[in-house]
Amino acid sequence: MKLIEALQIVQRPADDGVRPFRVRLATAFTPLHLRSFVAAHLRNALHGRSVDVSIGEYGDMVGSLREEALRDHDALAIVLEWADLDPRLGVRRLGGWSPSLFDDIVATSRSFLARLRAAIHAVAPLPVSIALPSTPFPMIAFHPNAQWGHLRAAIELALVEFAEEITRVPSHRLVSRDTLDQRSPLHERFDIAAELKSGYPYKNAHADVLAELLASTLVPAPPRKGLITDLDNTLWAGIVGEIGIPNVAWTLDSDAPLHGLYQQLLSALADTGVLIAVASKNELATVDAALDRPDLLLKKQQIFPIAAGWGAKSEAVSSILKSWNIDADSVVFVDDSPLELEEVKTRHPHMECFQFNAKDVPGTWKLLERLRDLFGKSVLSNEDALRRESLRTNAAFSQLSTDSASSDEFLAQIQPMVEFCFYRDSVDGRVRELVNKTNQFNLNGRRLTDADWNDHIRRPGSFLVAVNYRDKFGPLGTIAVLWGTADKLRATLNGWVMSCRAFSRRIEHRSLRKLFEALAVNEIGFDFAPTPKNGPLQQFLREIIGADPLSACCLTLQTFEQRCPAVIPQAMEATA
Amino acid sequence: MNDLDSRLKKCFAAAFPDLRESTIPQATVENTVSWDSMGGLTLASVIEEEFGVALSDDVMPELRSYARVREEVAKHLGES
Repeated sequence: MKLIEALQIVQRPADDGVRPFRVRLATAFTPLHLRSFVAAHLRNALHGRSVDVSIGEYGDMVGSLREEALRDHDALAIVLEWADLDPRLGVRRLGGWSPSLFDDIVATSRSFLARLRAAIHAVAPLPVSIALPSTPFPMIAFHPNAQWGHLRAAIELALVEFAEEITRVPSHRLVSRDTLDQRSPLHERFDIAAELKSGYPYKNAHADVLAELLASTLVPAPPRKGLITDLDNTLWAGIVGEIGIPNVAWTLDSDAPLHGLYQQLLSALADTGVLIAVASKNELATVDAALDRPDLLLKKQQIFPIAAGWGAKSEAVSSILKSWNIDADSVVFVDDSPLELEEVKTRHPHMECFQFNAKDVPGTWKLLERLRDLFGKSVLSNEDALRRESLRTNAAFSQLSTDSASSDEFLAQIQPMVEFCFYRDSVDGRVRELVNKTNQFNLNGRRLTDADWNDHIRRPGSFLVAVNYRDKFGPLGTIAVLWGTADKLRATLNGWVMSCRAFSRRIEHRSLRKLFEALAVNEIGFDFAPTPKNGPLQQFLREIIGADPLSACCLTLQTFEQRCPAVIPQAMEATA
Repeated sequence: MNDLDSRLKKCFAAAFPDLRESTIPQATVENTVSWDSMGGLTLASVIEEEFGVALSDDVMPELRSYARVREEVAKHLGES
């Protein structure tokens, strides 16, 4: 992004009625164009929401992190440079470069990092992104350029220890130096003329990359949810139907190491909650037996579902998407055949499709890096571990649902139980994640930042309820969140989301009953807005209210009692 | 209006968002609120990106109006 583009993005008119996303950019130098780039990249990441970037006082990095200075901020971006650690590491102060000063410079650097660490911990749980010094290390040491001396190693150690401690907190994210190095060559970062003239150290190209990485760590793109893979010449080398199960290969010894690395990556992704499915043109019995090979790195139980047959690949992909109940744009498809990729892409244009071409070793290595990035998550949640099993049990659930004579009989069989967890003073990561990625059962599609949550919880009469679910097939974890305000007779739901994994269990009915009871109100209003994807929520409101939902529709207790089915899940209450 | 004016106006609009497009040719340090030292640095950086010319520190203090900036950029580009 060029500076002029960044400025134009920042100057676009804001949506009326949406509070700007407020971020503090903490630097000890004049952030000048970095500020514009940060605002522009954040605005892109937030789909056009306006962004307000505040800055602290020049030269006072730690002071700009005081809690009161960060009130009403949604995030904090910290950009460190060498002179922040000790001004003698910069070019604007002349404190000396004598080797006799080195121990003191290291001590000063450690002291600064300790104060910075304490200041960052004091503002938790505010999301924080930190960029370590990114300009070339100053020419203070007496060693030739080819050599790192003790001073450099000691300061690097202090930085690494700082980073290690900071990143223990999930909301504290560190900008990847590896990615920065790949995207912005070291020798093209530092603008000595601008640093001396105005105290701004970066060339525009570097400021652009740095800002993009800060924005993407503060407002990460939603990770893809599922990967559908081909088998022959993709998960393994060889065509299993032709050469037999014992002869497909994926190891270095058998000259097929990229397939082994691919399996290893898919297994690791599965362990972080990514859904892995197989779409293969083979006999199902052959695939089933091949996936039983004990030396496969991707285990059969990590795969769900397995679609094997001789029909079109796009049909298999469609059936997998139906089993997962997620959109094609959340899924990646990998196959060795350009023809199959094209066929799937034509049917599912929003799905990213990648060719696995083992003959192109660098290209395949890049593919693995790309897949790792597409499925990357800042934190792992308990629900990540539950997801695959809950989908597997959902298949059993669907079968039982089909076999049951009525919905009442079906619900009686599965013994559903919901737990309501009322939040009083803070919100956990699962609630934030669920609200910000649920589309189908979503009252109005609004996404909330940490500051929005804090505002909500502090508001008089506010409530926030998370819903956990389990039945005889096992737990689904936290699957719904409701929030709003209530007075003596009426509650207003400002937001309501429910995971698509929890549909068809009448959890929505139980949730409304719980609100009527717990809040002792006669009427619930809905801050409803239609979105392109919230059809299931609209359908539910239509049924329970008895009319097409409007922007400020409401439901009386009397109407609810008339329309609520007799059999709904049992409820219990927990306190957050 | 030639290509130089069109591109230069784009630079001014980006650096000084309080300017209306029609008033850009008359813009001066005196009549443009956002044309402070930081605004001047932003303008210089945007011009450098857009035209590939670096405005020297010696001449920067003299660039206090659109007309004068246009003259300097044209000189770098070999235009009149």
